[in-house]
Amino acid sequence: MTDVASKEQKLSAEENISSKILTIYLIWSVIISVSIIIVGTILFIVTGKSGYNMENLNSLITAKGSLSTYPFYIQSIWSGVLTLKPFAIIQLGVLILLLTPFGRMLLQVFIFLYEKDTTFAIIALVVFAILLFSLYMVNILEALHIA
Amino acid sequence: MIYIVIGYLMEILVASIAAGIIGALGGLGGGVLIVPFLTLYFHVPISLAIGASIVSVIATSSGSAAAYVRDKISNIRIGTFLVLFTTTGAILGAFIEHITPVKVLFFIFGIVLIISVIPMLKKIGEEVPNVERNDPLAEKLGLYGEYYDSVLKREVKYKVTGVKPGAAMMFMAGTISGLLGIGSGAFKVLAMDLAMRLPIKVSTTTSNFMIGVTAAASAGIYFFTGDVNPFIAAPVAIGVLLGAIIGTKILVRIRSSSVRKIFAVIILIVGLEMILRGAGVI
Repeated sequence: MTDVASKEQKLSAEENISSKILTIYLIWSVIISVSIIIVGTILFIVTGKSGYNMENLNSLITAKGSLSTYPFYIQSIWSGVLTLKPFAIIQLGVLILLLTPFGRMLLQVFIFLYEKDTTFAIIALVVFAILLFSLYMVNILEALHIA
Repeated sequence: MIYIVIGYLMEILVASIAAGIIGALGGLGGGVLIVPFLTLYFHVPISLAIGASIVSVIATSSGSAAAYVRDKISNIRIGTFLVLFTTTGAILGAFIEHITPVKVLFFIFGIVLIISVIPMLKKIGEEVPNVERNDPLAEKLGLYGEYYDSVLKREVKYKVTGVKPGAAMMFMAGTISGLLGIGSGAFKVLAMDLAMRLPIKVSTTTSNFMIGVTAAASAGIYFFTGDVNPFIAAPVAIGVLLGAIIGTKILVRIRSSSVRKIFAVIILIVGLEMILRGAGVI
């Protein structure tokens, strides 16, 4: 009985550390990405320019990503950020935000390893691999001329 | 001109805050209302609405998951096991979205919303389900757990049943998430509530962990195919996150059955509107 109790206590101590790490990671990745999005939005409001050719409200709310509307590739986002284009800055924040769960899953792999839970470390790693595969799906869609 | 644009941006922001509050209360990603708001009231094309929504879903999930991780109500092992199925489904869903006509998307959206309400209304009032024994797979993977319920003021221990039907429902929930750009929290909660018989608070908070990871599996596809428009995604992400923070603070103070009633009614109304739009009536 005491063995079980002490084992449970030890487990909860490990869980405490991992939940702290997760909390810090989640909070900061959201703070950083949303701050970047806010900076981009404020810059857009203040300058009244997106940095791209989106003139009227109609095109602002209906345009898909392209060279003239807004960037959606890492290289074009980055070059836009370097020239302080508001929409490129927003996209950078959005990209960091949407990659947060990727990092979270990888973190979860290490947390399970730390808790000596090999089965769940492998499960979490497989989930991470599935997430990576989703990015490859973009190529498949493009090859099929759907995207 | 710029004032109209800024005004529009602010309207989307306010609508997103409201969606975020409601979403957090029901264990949803907030996206379930964002797409209808954007398409029905702001006339945003549905693909871009889905793209903005899926980003907001990640913001909500990460933001409120941070709070839930500390509360220790969510069950990370159950969540990690089940996202195997939701992420796979989400990739399939995002693929289907790219080949589905717009009207059909509206229709499916409405149907999905209404289906998610029916089982919710049936079992209102049951606070903690009574499961006699664990599913063998749940026993093997150690999916059972316990949490402190701040309303009941006691530790609640729970067992887990129906892992396989739960996993199958999760694959479908993931497909719906990827297809419609929603967290499909309602479906994840349903799978955990009906098939696996978890306490509603464990279901909603665990679903919140799963929502973010599931959404990420399709968000990358929407982003890199150019369906995440910064003019829409920025106010939506900021607004939904703010709303979620407020909603999470409310959630820990209210009883489970009132949570269900609130989001059942709202989802029903919005679902009907989406069906009417899909049918070309509005």
